[in-house]
Amino acid sequence: MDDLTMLRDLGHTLEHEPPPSLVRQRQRLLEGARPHRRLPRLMRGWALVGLAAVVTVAAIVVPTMIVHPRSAKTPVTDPAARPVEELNLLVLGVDRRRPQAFGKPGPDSARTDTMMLAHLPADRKKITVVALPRDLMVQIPSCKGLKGESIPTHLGLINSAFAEGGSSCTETTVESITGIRIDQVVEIEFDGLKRMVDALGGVEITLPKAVKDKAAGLDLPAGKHVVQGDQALAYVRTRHSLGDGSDLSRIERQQQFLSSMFKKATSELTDPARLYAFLRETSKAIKATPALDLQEMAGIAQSLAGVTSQDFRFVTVPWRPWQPDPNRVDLKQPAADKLFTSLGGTPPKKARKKAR
Amino acid sequence: MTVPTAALPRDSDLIADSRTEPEAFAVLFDRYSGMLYRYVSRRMGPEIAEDLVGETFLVAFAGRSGYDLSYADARPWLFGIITNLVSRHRRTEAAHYRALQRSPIEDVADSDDDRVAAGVTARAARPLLARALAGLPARDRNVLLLVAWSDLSYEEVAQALGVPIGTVRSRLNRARRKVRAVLGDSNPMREEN
Repeated sequence: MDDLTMLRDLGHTLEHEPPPSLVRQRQRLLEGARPHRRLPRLMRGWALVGLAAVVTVAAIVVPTMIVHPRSAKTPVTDPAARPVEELNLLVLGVDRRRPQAFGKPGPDSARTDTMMLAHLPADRKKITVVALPRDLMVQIPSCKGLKGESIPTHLGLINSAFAEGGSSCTETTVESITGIRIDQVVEIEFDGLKRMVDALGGVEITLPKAVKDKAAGLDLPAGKHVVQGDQALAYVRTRHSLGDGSDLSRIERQQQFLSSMFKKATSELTDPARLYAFLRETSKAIKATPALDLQEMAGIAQSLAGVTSQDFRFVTVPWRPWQPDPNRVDLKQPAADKLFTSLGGTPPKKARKKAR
Repeated sequence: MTVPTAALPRDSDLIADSRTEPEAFAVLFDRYSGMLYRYVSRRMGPEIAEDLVGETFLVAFAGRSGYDLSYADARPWLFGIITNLVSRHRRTEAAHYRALQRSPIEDVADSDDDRVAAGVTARAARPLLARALAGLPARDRNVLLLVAWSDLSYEEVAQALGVPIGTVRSRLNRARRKVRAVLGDSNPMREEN
């Protein structure tokens, strides 16, 4: 027998088939990051969700930070006047604006980029934010489609619920798998960050080198700059003209940008008028169902007084590769139900078993 | 692996797209992660293979802006990257071959234990081949195993390793000579000249 043939035979006996868990490496690629422990606490597990997460965190955390005890004198709603209750928010990061290179935004281009369930217990001591991966396969209950047609129950990707039936269908879907009653759905668009930065009167950034990136709309010399909305968005979005082009460096940049934004917010928004202006812009950037008025937003922010970013717990829902297609995932039981139960939900165990 | 290519974007198109739309890179993962996994599981065993495949795509992703788009097929590039990563784990690979040398030959029921050259089955030759592989210099082993265990042509192996095709041929010849010598079915002294 030829030596190469023998070697090939040996190769066949040594070969292993790729296990379903290889999908984790795909996830790792999409996260574009090294292991999570290298990431700052706030962003741990969040690499995947990218810019939408930045906007989301900004929307939840920034109002929280600015209504910190130090600025508690701001005349927002009197917390005593309103009993503080448990609150579950479903936060959807919606990308309606596709990048220019990929055609003009059309009515069908809206998609959820990020889906998160924020659980605020009545004592507001520990805020848990559960990220739901967009490749999660779930039973989508019957919903009304965007054109009014009725869509029967079916197995599908969790983010297809939004494409098919908008935020209400997404809400029903998440409620049915978690058994958690959702009080509020908050949709946040990419534009949101821009508006918030403008309302803050700009945010300071430091550029290690001059940047001239026509595509991103950035043309700035090296050094410190106060950037306004459009530039801020370009700064956090660009991959190529800054850093090493990896997602990790972009995430670091976004994180720095966020902390710079916090700094600005906490130092500038001591003036009630400006705080209100900021909240007003934030409220334009988000679409809440049922609608949240400014008073209510300020109320939520107020109820979170004293909560710092350290009190947030960011987790991803326990998942495992989905058997029929390892590039998709499904809930890992019993861990997922355990998590939902710990957040006050009653996951429909029997129903799910039947569905399988 | 034959895939109808008419409707599918070429690897180079995906890499070009991924420069503006990083998610496009995941399609390359879907195409080639299995192939790379199988290859590296042969060299390193399954325990570390998964991680190495993941690492390969991270390295490739970080280097995607430097990819020469005139090469439509990304396989040589990916095999080149994983080969570099394998060489960082030389001790794991060596241990893998050592284990193979020791591993009992499980199902040789029909063996009457006479190892005449022509009768040597691949399974029976396993410890010998493992010993031969372990004894090769890394650069020769890389060429030999890419030729034997991947579907790459000589030219693609050259591209993967960044060496001229003549070098691939000479390293392959040298490696095969040594393997044959260990297998003992030819006289190494005669082969040398």
